[in-house]
Amino acid sequence: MTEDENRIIEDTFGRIESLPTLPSLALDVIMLAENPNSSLADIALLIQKGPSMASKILKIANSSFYGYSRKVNNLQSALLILGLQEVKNIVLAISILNLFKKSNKGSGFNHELFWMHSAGCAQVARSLVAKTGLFEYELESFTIGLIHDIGKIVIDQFNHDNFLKIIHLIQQENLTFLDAEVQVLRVNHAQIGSWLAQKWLFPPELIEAIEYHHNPEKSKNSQILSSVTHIADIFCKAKDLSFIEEFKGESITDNSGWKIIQKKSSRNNLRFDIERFVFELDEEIAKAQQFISISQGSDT
Amino acid sequence: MISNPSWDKQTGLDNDHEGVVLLKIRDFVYHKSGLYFAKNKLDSFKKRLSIRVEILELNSFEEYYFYLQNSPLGESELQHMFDCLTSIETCFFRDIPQLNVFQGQVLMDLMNLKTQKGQNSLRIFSCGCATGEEPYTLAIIMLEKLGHNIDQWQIEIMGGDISSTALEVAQKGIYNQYSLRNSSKDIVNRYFTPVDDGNYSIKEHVRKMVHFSYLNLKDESIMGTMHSIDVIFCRNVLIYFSEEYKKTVVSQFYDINTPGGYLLIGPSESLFGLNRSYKLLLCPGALVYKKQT
Ligand SMILES: C[S@@+](CC[C@H](N)C(=O)[O-])C[C@H]1O[C@@H](n2cnc3c(N)ncnc32)[C@H](O)[C@@H]1O
Ligand SMILES: [Fe+2]
Ligand SMILES: [Fe+2]
Repeated sequence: MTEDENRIIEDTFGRIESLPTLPSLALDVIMLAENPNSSLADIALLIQKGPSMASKILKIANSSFYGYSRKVNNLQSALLILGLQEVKNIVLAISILNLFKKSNKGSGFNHELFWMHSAGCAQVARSLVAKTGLFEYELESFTIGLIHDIGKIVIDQFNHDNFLKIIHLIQQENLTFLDAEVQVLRVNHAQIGSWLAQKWLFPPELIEAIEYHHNPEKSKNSQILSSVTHIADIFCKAKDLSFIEEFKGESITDNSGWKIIQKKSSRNNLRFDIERFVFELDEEIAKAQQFISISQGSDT
Repeated sequence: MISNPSWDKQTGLDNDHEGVVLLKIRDFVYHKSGLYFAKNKLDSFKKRLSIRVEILELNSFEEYYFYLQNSPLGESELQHMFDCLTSIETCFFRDIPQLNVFQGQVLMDLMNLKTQKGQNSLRIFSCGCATGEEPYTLAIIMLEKLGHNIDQWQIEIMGGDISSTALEVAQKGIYNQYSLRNSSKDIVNRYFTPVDDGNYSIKEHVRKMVHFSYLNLKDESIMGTMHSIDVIFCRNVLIYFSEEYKKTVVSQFYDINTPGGYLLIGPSESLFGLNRSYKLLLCPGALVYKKQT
């Protein structure tokens, strides 16, 4: 992002005091997970500080999202089974989902659709890296899928008039979301999202992947994650899992993000069966739905 | 730490032996036909297959899988199995997401392309149209979409099928309510006239838009006479052909498609491994194949 663009974002959103901050619990868990010396006991202690966090983690561990056949009864065994990185993801997801919970119906922003799209992307991104043999990106790809469009919420909640203008342009002039927001704000949701992630002290590769999730070829240090998010986004839209209808149809094989994934993949992607992958997405999306409803569920 | 498949709980197959065999047959079917049953469709897959297992008086799906692969009758059993797995039946507005893509992305794109070129013809071919519901649906969609502007376009919709009895029904254009179960009241009122016995006859102005003729996709002399087709619909037909033959048919489709034209197949069908030339496009709710412009 250029200095100009950064300044525009600072001017528009930087002074907003109600801008959500990541709960300290989530931050602490992220830090813990990054630290090679931390143990599961450390993280268990942390999680028990948050009132509903432990019960939600248990619910998720027991859901068909993971499909374990045995019941996971307590936080300790959930942590053992899921592992530190997976738990970090869940904590992050639950925190972020609940930060932006409020739904303003009739304002053009459908929270339910938004999170369904995001969770869908998360799950599809993870499945995509597994199927292309890019296992080292599995966990991060889920996180990034979940938050890639966070900039859109920021626009809606803190610059609502312009958000409505953007929606209007998309509907009236048949523009894409990206073109419409640049016309109105001179910056896009990917840049705004990465600006917020920076404020939240996210790891640099995630900040960069958010910024380039629509043009992964421009990313310097996070090309794979940006590409995976970009492609997962298209797959979700092909499943009609889009936030605002503006998707007109796209080829995967021509996509620059796809080419980046292919180059990096250990598998022979020329044989990657895109059709079959699309068919199988129904299951992934059902899982994502479940993840969302548990994460957002009432605090019991 | 990849998540385990969760379908076993839903289907009650619980990782057991039968579940594993069913998945093998599922993959075998996909390989032979391109027809894909996602895990949440495995229940219906199982139900349909068990009809064949019963008819053949076999004891398990495992025996059936063996029969499919090893019996001298395996090839012909494939046909029976496909018949069971797909329904021969058809209806108006059968696949709404795909039809939305047809009237949105596909028609918009083609009309823009034609306008740029100063042309006004649109030729649509429904291959394996059975009793005609599919091509008539396409005619109704064009009428709805274009409204008064339809006169500016030269629209030809062709329906072809190997079954002459089916084509006779198509030509008559009389349908029962079941055929119209996906059609809104509005559509029925505008494009059909009620006739005896609760049946409906398609109105003349729609019938006139569609031309039916005998078609055998395997007969290259018939296919050779076709040309300049903008959109080919070939839904739930390729499944009946061998791998080799599917390739031939798909490349014939490519030849008769206009540059920039489209091929649309059934929602669970795939051209993976059959197609070198078409470009797969992911559209909201459906996959389509596009010929290079
Ligand atoms: C399941 S129906 C599909 C009807 C319709 N396309 C739909 O999807 O609703 C399959 C049709 O393909 C026709 N068919 C099978 N083999 C064919 C061939 N070689 N050439 C032309 N049509 C064929 C059958 O007669 C049958 O009417
Ligand atoms: Fe985005
Ligand atoms: Fe997105």
